[in-house]
Amino acid sequence: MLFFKKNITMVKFKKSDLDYFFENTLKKHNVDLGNYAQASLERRIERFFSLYHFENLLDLTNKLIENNQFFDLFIKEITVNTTEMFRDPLCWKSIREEVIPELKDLPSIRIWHAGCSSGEEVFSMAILLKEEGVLDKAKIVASDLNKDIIETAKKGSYSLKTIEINEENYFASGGKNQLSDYYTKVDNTYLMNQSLLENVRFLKHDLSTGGIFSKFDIIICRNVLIYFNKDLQEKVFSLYQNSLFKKGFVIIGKKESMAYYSNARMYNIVNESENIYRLK
Amino acid sequence: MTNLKSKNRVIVIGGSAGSIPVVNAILSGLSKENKIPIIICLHRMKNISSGMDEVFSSKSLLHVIEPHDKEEIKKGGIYLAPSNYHLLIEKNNSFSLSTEELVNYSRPSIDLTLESAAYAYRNNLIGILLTGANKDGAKGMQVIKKMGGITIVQEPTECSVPTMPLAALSLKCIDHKMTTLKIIQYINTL
Repeated sequence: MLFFKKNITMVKFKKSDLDYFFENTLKKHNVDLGNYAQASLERRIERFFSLYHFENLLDLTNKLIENNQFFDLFIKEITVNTTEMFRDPLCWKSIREEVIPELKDLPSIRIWHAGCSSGEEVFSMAILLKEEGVLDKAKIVASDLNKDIIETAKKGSYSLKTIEINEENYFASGGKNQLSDYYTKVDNTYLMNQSLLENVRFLKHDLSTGGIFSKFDIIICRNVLIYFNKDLQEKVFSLYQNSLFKKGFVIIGKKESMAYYSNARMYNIVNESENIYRLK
Repeated sequence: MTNLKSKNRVIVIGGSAGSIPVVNAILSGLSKENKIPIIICLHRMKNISSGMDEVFSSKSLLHVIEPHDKEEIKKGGIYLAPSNYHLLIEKNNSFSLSTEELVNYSRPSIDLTLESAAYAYRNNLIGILLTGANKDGAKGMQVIKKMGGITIVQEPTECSVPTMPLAALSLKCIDHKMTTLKIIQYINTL
């Protein structure tokens, strides 16, 4: 299998244990962790060791093989789910001003949030589409490999601690109303209006092994690819290209880059600093 | 001080409160022939995403880059951790970024950059920890030492806030205390 040729080494773990770990998580759970960016994966596994009191990778791997629920927990802990609404507001401003106008006249606007995490960007997009008058004709898919986090996204209930930054971002992104028009405060949380999710379908999909399942006008995947190595990034960019309608948009994180993608020339740059690309 | 081949060396610098003028002085004092990559991780204000690299560039006449994810680390390159991302170094001589939780109340966290660099470059790495008001970086320096690298802190009496170098010194993992001037001279003899 592919990962054996890669000669992955990590400081903290034995090579043979790592091979066993990557092989079995792929075989049993169909997640290709061998193609994740190593430095952060190593760190996240180490963190998991200390949180759940593991001392060696073989024990951990064996438990991951035999216990699906434990694997879900593991994935939840090693993946990074820090996110905000309208994070990098200028990107959202550009979506509002440069992307949506190009798609406004289509009979439907199909959007894929790839790696949707706890859903903040799904709500951000729905709010933006609503304010631009096109939410009704949007067909949105929000996917993640972690099914627990998908449940969090569906609920749309967030800690009040995050409200300040989200409101700042919303205004900076060109929001036309008040963010509070879209949520209700409940105890220490704020609950996003469920009507925003009317055209959203949530889906468990893993980018490391998952294939094409539909076609879209916009694929938004910000700060997800940074956790993959270059090989897997290539594969995912190729998946995106195959999942886009002609003239569709790909939006990646501010410090991510399409420069290494072998078919990057197939795209025009819509906004260089916000990393918005459009398929030719 | 060391007999390592200079062609493989990498320098990583961490700093917090008061460190920008020091970094500027170091970069301005660098020999024009410097080919050693320098990776800088400073605590920065969140949401001030640009400008810092230009500040450095204008004073030192060197081009400071905020690397993109997976960017290759090049000879003579000077890299600054982007605001609001952790900057990690991969073993294949490239960067990876991460948005994971704050570490030591910081993103970028100096510990994370130092530690990943220590694993990637082992005894070819030189870690320099400058003035700062928290303990971020101390553990990273410890890992650099453990992996065979060289560890230097800014002379605490010269620091505007010495907490950070003192925290590293208390872990007994520091090879040298140096003033800014000594740091510049040291780098230029490598």
